[in-house]
Amino acid sequence: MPAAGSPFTGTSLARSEDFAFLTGQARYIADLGATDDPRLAGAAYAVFVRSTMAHARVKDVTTTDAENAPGVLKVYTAANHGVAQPGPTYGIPVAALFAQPLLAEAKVRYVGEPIAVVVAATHQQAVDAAEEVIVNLEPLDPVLDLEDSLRGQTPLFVAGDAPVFQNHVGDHAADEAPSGNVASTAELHVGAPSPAAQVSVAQRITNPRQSPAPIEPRGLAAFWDCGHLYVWAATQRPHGFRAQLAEFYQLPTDNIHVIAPAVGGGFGGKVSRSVEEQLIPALARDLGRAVRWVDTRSEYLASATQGRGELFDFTLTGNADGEISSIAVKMIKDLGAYPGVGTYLAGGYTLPMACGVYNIDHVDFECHAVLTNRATIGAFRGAGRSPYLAALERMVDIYAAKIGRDPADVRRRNLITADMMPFTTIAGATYDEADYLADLNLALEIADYQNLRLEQAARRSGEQPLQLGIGIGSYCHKTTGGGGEEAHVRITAEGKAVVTTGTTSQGHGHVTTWAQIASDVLGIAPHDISIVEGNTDAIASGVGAVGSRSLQTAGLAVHKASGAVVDRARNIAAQLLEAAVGDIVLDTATGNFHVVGTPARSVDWVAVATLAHDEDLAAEELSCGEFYDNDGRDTYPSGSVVAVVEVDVETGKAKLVRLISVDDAGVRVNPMIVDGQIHGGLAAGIAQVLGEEIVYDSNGNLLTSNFMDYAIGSIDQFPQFELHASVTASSHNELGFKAVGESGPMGAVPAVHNAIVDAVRHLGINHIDLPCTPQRIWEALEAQR
Amino acid sequence: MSSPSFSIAQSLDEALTAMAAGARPVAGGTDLVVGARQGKAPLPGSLIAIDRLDELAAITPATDGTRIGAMVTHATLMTNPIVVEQYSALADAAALVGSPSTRNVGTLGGNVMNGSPAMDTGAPLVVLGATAELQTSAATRQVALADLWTGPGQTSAADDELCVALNLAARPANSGSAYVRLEYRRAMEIAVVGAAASVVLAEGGAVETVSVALTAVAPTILSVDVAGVLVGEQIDEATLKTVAETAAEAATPISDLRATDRYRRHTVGVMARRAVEAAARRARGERIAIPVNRALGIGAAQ
Amino acid sequence: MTLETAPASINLTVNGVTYPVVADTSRNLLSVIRTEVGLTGTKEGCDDCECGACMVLLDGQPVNSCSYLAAQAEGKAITTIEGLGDGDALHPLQAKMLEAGGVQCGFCTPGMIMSAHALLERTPDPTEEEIRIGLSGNLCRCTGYAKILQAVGEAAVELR
Repeated sequence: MPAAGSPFTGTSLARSEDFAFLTGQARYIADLGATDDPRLAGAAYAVFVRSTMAHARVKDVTTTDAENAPGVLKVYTAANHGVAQPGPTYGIPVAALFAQPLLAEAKVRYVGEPIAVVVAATHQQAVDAAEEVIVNLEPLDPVLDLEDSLRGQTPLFVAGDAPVFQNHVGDHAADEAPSGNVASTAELHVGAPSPAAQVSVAQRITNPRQSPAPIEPRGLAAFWDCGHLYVWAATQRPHGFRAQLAEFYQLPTDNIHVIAPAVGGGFGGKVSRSVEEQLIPALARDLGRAVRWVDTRSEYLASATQGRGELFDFTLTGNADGEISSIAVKMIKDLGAYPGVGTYLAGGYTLPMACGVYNIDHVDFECHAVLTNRATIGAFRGAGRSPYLAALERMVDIYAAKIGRDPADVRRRNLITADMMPFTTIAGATYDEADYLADLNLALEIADYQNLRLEQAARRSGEQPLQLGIGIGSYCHKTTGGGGEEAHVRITAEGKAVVTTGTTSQGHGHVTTWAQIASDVLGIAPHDISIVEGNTDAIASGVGAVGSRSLQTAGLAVHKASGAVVDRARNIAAQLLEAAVGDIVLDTATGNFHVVGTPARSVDWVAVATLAHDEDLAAEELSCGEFYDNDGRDTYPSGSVVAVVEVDVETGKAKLVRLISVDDAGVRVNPMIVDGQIHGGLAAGIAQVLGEEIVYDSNGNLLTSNFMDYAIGSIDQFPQFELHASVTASSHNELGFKAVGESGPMGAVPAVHNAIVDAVRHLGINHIDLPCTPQRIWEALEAQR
Repeated sequence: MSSPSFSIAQSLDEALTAMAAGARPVAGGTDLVVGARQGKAPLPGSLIAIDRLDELAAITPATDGTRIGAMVTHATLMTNPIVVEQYSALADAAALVGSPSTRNVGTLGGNVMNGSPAMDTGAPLVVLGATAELQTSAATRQVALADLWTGPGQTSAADDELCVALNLAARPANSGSAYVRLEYRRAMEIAVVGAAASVVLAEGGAVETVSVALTAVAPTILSVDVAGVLVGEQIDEATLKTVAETAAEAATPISDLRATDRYRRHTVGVMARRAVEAAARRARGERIAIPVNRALGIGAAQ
Repeated sequence: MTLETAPASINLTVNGVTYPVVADTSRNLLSVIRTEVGLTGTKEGCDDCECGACMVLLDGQPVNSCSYLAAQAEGKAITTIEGLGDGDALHPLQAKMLEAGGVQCGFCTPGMIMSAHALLERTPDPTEEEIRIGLSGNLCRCTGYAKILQAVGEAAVELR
């Protein structure tokens, strides 16, 4: 047994999961076949027929030609899929009226809504037959504008009477019930305006829709065997999906087996709450064979949940010296066609972040989440937080400009300071340890901020075609540690370890990270620790990889279970060493147990495991499961981003030339993996500022239905990121972990956005809405010329 | 999806015979396959692959210019010394098309016969005075591009006519050309607007001849007459400003997801000015790397 | 050559092995490689040549196999991700991607590596700008490209 050489926490080990990815051997949904499970042999293919209208009555659906097309097994519509409409579910407790039918019945409410599904022997046959399904729709006026929806003149859901559902979060009840298109409200009114406040700035700010757009779209394969349902799903939540399916198909969870194979990215887009994913197993049951479904890219962009979609009317008030005292926000959140995860975001994630990183005494916050005839809003990297924090950081710059102060100075003046931590804001969130001011100052120092300002002044006075802009985004954000996670650690007869978790990775590097955490406790080398995840049969419970939560829940559970196994192993080692258990210690550097003070005489894991696995002698089972309960102690990763852009004032084209990001993600287990998470988040945020936007036309048709028109970040848009790790251990858990998955966009969006406006601020521009496309920047410039 | 009959032509004659019998030519096939997969246009009933006809893949000096075979790929155009040195605008454009893979598969002939007003190689071919050589099993003819392109995605070629080459006029001394495109991001982007310019300078640096053509601002590639503005004049701030204004006035762009007509009209003027400026610098003997977009940091992300 | 009517018999040479397959002439190369040849390392992430997950090499040049007719690849040398490296020994590009942390979800990885391979074959000593251009037809949603850029640069040094 090689010595572990611990500690591995803090070490950038190459990822042990990567061999399969690098060689093309990793198995994603579309790759699965009989070699993965013989029962997948001959899986049929499902292809959905989707609405081409944003809002319409379904008059009739004719499937005769499709049924007679070559290879077709069956065509399903609302009339014949034979599944009782589930409750208002898919894991979101909303009123039954709002529940999306599995296949549209009376109305369609977004372009891309499933109306029928064709199952055929081959994918091409299903595609061809789907074109033969004739859908007769009678158009209705779509509701697309958020304020129109809020006014509710066209109620989208009418059950003979009115509005039905309110999911109210906050300290004040709504004075009067808003319209029937409001599915949730969140309000917070705390503190009082400062009498010294003299300067108010107000701005309407929109945050456009984005698609999570993992490069692998959604997909599912399902079959039934002896009353058990087997589902292979590209999912972030195997156990959560299993619970939904159990409710849906009225089965005990033990009869449902969900496996997440290799999953090609999630970002909130694979939380398995869609009607497509609930319905496929029913088709497999009806046909008595395995059925597979994988989105095309255009289907994904039209019908998978999207993120963002906020409208803020923001007022920020302070004094003339740069002291911010008051925030007032009226916000409308677009929910899309059916209330999903979006109903929670304002109350659960936006409202607690009302103060951002600032010490503010007065908050007036009000949000209505409204329905529209666009694809349903779900989660996307930074959901509920990124849009608000970006708007707040924009307001800080607008305020600084108004009082003629440097935006860096205004931030310094208002940041919550390290000596105040942990700090509970008036919005009720308790931030853990961090030094926001030091991180901001470091980012500015790396950027060489003062010289950048001099360079900017020179370009301004020279009226140069390429103007320079510098922007800052300081952030902290609530992560969703809520609840906890379970982990199992088992020692094999060879003295190696197997770790099982309920969370599952979609590229996060859990396999390597968990091995490093376990190794530091067990003293077993990481390469001798294998990880099992993404399989509901392997472990009883799990929440999944959402909300930057895996490390601060499952990571702690792995640590805890590893410790429990060591405690058992010490009992065995005590027998072998003929010493008292209380005197036995594990040297994690060597992986040897010995009596405290006498390391020369020791036993290793192999000896301990051999004894434990000998049925006659077994003293202890070297297998422990532990649940780590986060108990509401969410962590708040933080940092500051500085962006430098050049704007071509002739064309409006903005180019990001530098991006400095100082991030406090708490204790970093694998710094390389952490940096990779930051890079990806920065990229998503930068792309949102530069042009990534889901666009619908005035009839509710999706205009961005492929990667040509929906421009996720490409390799030419990003400079070499300048990262700096700021490590402050959190007191919210014993390992000092925070989180990192969603940090990137939090700082990057406002930093790049502020930099672009800063580049043209001297030309009279106060604000440009996202995304800052060349045309939008040019239009802002034209308006001032 | 319908399954066409498919064959790989081993000779030009075989290809032309197949086309006479109703087959459609396929070179790289990207547009055909993407169009069929997205349901925009079904695959034709009969396809003849012409990508292995080496006689269509040559760049050949001719007495009065250069003959570029229709199967020459964008990857070749952007690096071929004759094109880079003498027909720089065409090399500029080829280097901006799509990604390495689409440049590797996509051909000049395929591009020209698609007839898209947003094609990058179109405006350079126009300012370089190119004609398309169309051949059937019975005859060959030369067609000016202005006569070939009749509307968005439409050409005057008959169904059995195969574009076998583009013929480019010889370049005089002291000439230069350039193509500049406005890009939101670099790869996989169709042109928002673009402009090509060809400039010949007289002794003393005044403009002797000039031509400008615009991408994606009209139903076909749009030729703009700036001779009246520039011939006999020095290229300076004042004349360049007029070029921009003339180009903007000539443009009749549409509004779509990418840009409004107003923005396209303005930026095509900026692109025209930058193209003329870069072409003039090349005419003066300055070496500006391909593509000029990137070399000068104009129009593009970098 | 006689006109074939669908389905056609096609000989596809993938990673040095010739596979006689029968496929409709409308089929794209990606689908035939994945289904008939049975090599699933090449991925489908879009349907219009935008994402690059389907990238393979045809006679050494990168091609979006999703938008290339399988019948047209007859007689050409096709290289997929499975053709790189040798058993457990990674190709230097794969090894540097591993070391640098260029892989996250892995879905874009095979296509990305094929594009990088073609780039380094024609440009053994690329500038950072040339690497960006060489990989500009491949989208990645996880990495922000930073570590991929680093890995390809390091692989170029190793391969020279």
